[in-house]
Parts: sequence; structure tokens; C-alpha cells
Amino acid sequence: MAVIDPRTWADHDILDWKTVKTELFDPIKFLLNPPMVEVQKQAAQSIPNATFTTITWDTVTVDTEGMYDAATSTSRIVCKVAGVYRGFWQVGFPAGPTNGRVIGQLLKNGSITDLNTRDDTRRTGKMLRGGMPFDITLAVNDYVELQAYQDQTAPASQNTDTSTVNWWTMLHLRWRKVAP
Amino acid sequence: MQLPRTEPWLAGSTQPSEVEFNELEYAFQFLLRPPQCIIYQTTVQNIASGASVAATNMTALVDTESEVSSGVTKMWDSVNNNRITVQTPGWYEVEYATAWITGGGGDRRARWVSINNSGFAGEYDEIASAAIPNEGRNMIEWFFNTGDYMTLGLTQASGSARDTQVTGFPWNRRCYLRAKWVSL
Repeated sequence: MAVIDPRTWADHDILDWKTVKTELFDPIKFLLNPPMVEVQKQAAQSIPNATFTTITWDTVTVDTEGMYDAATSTSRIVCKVAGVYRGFWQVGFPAGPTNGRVIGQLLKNGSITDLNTRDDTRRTGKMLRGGMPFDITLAVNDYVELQAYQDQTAPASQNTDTSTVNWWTMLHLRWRKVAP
Repeated sequence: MQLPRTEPWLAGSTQPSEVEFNELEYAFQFLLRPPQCIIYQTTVQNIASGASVAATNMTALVDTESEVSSGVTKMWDSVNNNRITVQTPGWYEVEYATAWITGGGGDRRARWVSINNSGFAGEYDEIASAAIPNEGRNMIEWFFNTGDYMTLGLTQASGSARDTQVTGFPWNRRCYLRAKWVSL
């Protein structure tokens, strides 16, 4: 899918059906159905103590552009259409054995994006399911990943209780506008 | 609200007609004013420790369902006032927030979006301060079919009943739920 490039009209342009389709309906179609991807982690993934660990995805809910390719990488979402993307991520931890910290953070091309980090406290016996909305500018082939962290001494697995729908770990991105 | 047509039904005609231009105009109107509903809490709600309930006594601040197409059902009504009911299928950006009064030490408070009163999409947990009103918000995107409805779920485990807060603007320092259509 190509980014919208609105036509500059000139006097005496002919409005045949093909021009109308290409220059008007196709951009509208893009705006009505922009690039979107959502991946989830439904199986347990162990997060070692005090170690930022990259999430590997195992389920694709929607992917309009083939941004997730498990054959190439199970952790990366690769941008196919440049733009500013609106997204959110969510990390689910089960009840912990001790008090401690849990952190989720989004990476762009392997580097931390400071605006997309959530640092929280987890108490003994308390679950934590938290996330964060964000806007991120991506060029074609930029990639994003999600990392989780916990320091509760013992390794903690992410929550995988599928009986309560969708509070497992996930990452969602939707094209929002042309990059400035 | 009716979804705009996007298929090239123009093929075969040499010139686009009034029908096609009206479809174009409708599509622009839809994109400029997509379905959106914002509801917020108007009355304090007392919630027992350990209970998980839907936020009640919500009222609509915005409901655009009838702005583009006339005669359509709105997303909020006063009978089922604690829910937003989707009338136009698609992906929705859903923002949700809760606000609790000050009090209690080390309370744990959460909020989530419940879908059709079974299962939920997204949840935000927080361990609140005893001295600062606990307010927070989060956002998800979720696909809804026509007739699906969402409510704002609340729970807290402070050990005693807690009140929600309704002292601020509709979108600030109150329980709040916003759903906006974003994609087919």
C-alpha cells in the first residue's frame, strides 16, 4: 500500500471514472482502512530477574501489510508504509512472589524510546496488567519491539490465562497520518 | 452510521455521475466526523472492596452517530446509561479512565473495558497513593460489530468501600469512556 499523495488539480482536468477512482476513491479507501497490525503473546514467556527481555509474538490478530513475518523475526513489527502510527502496548504479569518493579518498554530499531516506557510497582500476590498508548514516527523498514522487565528475584512468567480474554501481552499499531 | 462505499463501482461508465460524487461527499463527511461517543460519570459510585462492577450513572458528552446520517440509533441512551453500543462496525480507539477519591493506604485500583458484559479488552492496574486522588487513563483499539457494547469496569481492593470522584470536567477527574471509529 502506498502512502496517500493527493493530486493537485488543474483547470480542464478530465474527470473520467478512472481518474476519480485513482485520485479520490483510492485515497479515501486508504483513510478508511489504514495500515494496521496487532500481535499478541498467548503462551507463557519467562522473564528472568532484572533482565530486559524482548517479547516474541505467537498470535496475529490483524496485519494489513504483512508487518509481522515470523519466518524473519518473531519479535519485530516492520514498517511497510511510512507515517506516524498510533499504537498501544500492554504487558500482563501474574501475581508475584515478592514486592518489586515491573517495566514495559517499546524499542524502535533496537533502541529505547523513552516516551514509551511504563515503570510500575508490583506487590506480593498482586497481578499487574498495564500498558501505554503512544504515537511513533516510522519510516519504511523501521521496526519496533516490546520488552518486559521484572526484579522480583524469581523469574515470573507473563500472564497467559486465556479464560479472561485478552489481558495478555500485546502490541498494536495503526497508521494515523503522514509523517511531518 | 452507514459505512462509505469504497469499491470502484464506477467501472463501465465514461463519466462519474451525481451518484458517485454524492458517495464521495458522504465518504468525506464520514471521515471528518466518524462515529464517536464519550460518556462520563455524573454521580458518585460507592464500590465495595473486592467488588468488580460497571461504572454507573454515565451520560453522553458527545455522540456523533446521527450527525452524518439522520434517523440512526445513537451509541448512548438513557435507559442503558452505563454503556456505549456500537452502531457502525469497525475498529475503535477506546480511551478509558477512572477517578477515585483520596483515602486508604496502598489501595490497588483497576479499570478495564468490558465487551458485551463478557470478557474484556485491555486493563490498567495501579497501586494508588493514600494522599493523592487516583486518576489514570489508558487506551486500546478493538474491533466491534454492530450491537456490541462496552462498559467501563471498576474494582478496588483497599479493604474498605471507596467512592469514585465526580468533581472535575467530564473528561478529567471522572470515570470516563470514549470510543471513536478509526478503521474498517
